[in-house]
Amino acid sequence: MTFDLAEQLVLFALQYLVVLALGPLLLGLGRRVRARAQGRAGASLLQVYRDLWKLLRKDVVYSESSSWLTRYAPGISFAALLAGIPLIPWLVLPTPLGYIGDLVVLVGLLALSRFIIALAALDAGSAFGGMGSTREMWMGALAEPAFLLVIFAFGGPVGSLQAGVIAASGVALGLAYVHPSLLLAIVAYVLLLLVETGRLPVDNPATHLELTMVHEAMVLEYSGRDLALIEWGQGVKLAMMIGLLAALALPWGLATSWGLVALLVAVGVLALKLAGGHYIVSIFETRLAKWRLFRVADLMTLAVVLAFGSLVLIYMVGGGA
Amino acid sequence: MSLSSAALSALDLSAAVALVTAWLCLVHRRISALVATYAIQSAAVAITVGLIAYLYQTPDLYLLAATTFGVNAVVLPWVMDRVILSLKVDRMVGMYASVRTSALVGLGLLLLSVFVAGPLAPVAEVSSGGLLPISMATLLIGFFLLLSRRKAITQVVGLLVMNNGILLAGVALTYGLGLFVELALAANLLVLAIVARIFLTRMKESFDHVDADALRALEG
Repeated sequence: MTFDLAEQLVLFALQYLVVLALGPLLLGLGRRVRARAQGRAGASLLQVYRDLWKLLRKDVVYSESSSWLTRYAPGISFAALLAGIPLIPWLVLPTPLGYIGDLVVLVGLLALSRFIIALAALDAGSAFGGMGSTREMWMGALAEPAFLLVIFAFGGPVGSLQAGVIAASGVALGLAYVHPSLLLAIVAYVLLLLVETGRLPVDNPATHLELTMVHEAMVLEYSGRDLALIEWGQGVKLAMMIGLLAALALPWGLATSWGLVALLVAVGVLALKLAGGHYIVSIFETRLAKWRLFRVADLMTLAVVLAFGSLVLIYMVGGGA
Repeated sequence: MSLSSAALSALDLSAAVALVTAWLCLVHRRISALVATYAIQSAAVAITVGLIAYLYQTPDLYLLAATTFGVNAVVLPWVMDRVILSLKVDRMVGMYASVRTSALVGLGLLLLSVFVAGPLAPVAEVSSGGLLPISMATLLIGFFLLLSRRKAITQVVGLLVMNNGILLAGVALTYGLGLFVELALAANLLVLAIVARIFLTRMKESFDHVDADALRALEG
């Protein structure tokens, strides 16, 4: 079943709406789960929206020594994330206008979003910004090869690097989609997700100690609507990373036909997958302490090795059962 | 048909769990985490054997699966945990090779076992493509664990991981080495765990540590 252009455009807009709306909720859910696991009540799930609304109405303050880079960086970073959203199957298969790019483009866009924020962190010349950006770029340099190998591992058996095509073959094949290599790729992806979204063994999103900050250290200079955009972008990126895993590892439940009921079910399934995925990540997080920075290299070596092992199983053993 | 294809997919997954946990054994730095991972691996191996019993209608493999689960996944980890508690040793795994080197060696061992097991695939009784290379890799990773860790207790875990690999390879090639051989192996492992416990306790009493490296000093 395929959609005509008008339907595709409506779906295209709808998935933006859903992802942009759900991103902050996902952040709120993670904070709530961690609070509960630590015996605190935790803030309401809607607190993130209130914070964003408050930040959006506040004035922006820029350092006198900063240039245009600081002013444009949040927008560019957010736009790079927005450009990546249509590359992931969120609600329907085939992905509306999904042929505009494959997962390598997605990795590039995530790298651009990270790069521009790291660059802007150096702009004002504060010490923490510099520390944060060196750490972030170092982690990024380790994570990117792992990310590409994981993508090859997911796309290898299907022969395509478009997430929509991979997910569609998963839905079509059913249980035959399961192969030993899939599990290796999933484990590698989860390790990668922790680094890409700055979760606990790597970076503590709730820290107030500048010396241990990674992402937070880079955005210390930002205020007002710029900060709101960065926070919102974090939520969207989290949704993208979990959504991509859900689409590649658990593609069942995506709608394949046009209709109100089918779309509502697809939205429900998506919300369930995102919330479930983030719930597991957050619970996992509460059981870990932050690692020494240089152990991130161990984690990413493991991710590279698992993804490579997955490729070995695909191309040298092949076939599956 | 659908039930057996589901079982086949589950077989693929549980074999993959055995491989992933073998890798995780290489990167753990705490002994208790290592033992827990070994327990998960043994459970995965037991499930794999059980699924093969179901798929190829070889009922005696059910018994093997149950024994593997009982001995390797429950009793042995429990004994190991007791040993760790009673010895009050340092909780960290002593390593000759760093975590990164170990992980990369693990990858090399997977490549090696794919090369070695590839030509053997047509001989194997179980026609799951990945099972034989995966079991060989588990065996070799266990062997590497045995070689590259310093403390006697982690070397015992390496030996046990090797045993899991041998069990899987045996089942994949010939539906097991014969039920009695496997049962005897399980009994042997139990004895091994007990001997290791006594040995480690004595070692701790005499030398105040369980670092096998330091035993070299006893050579003439």
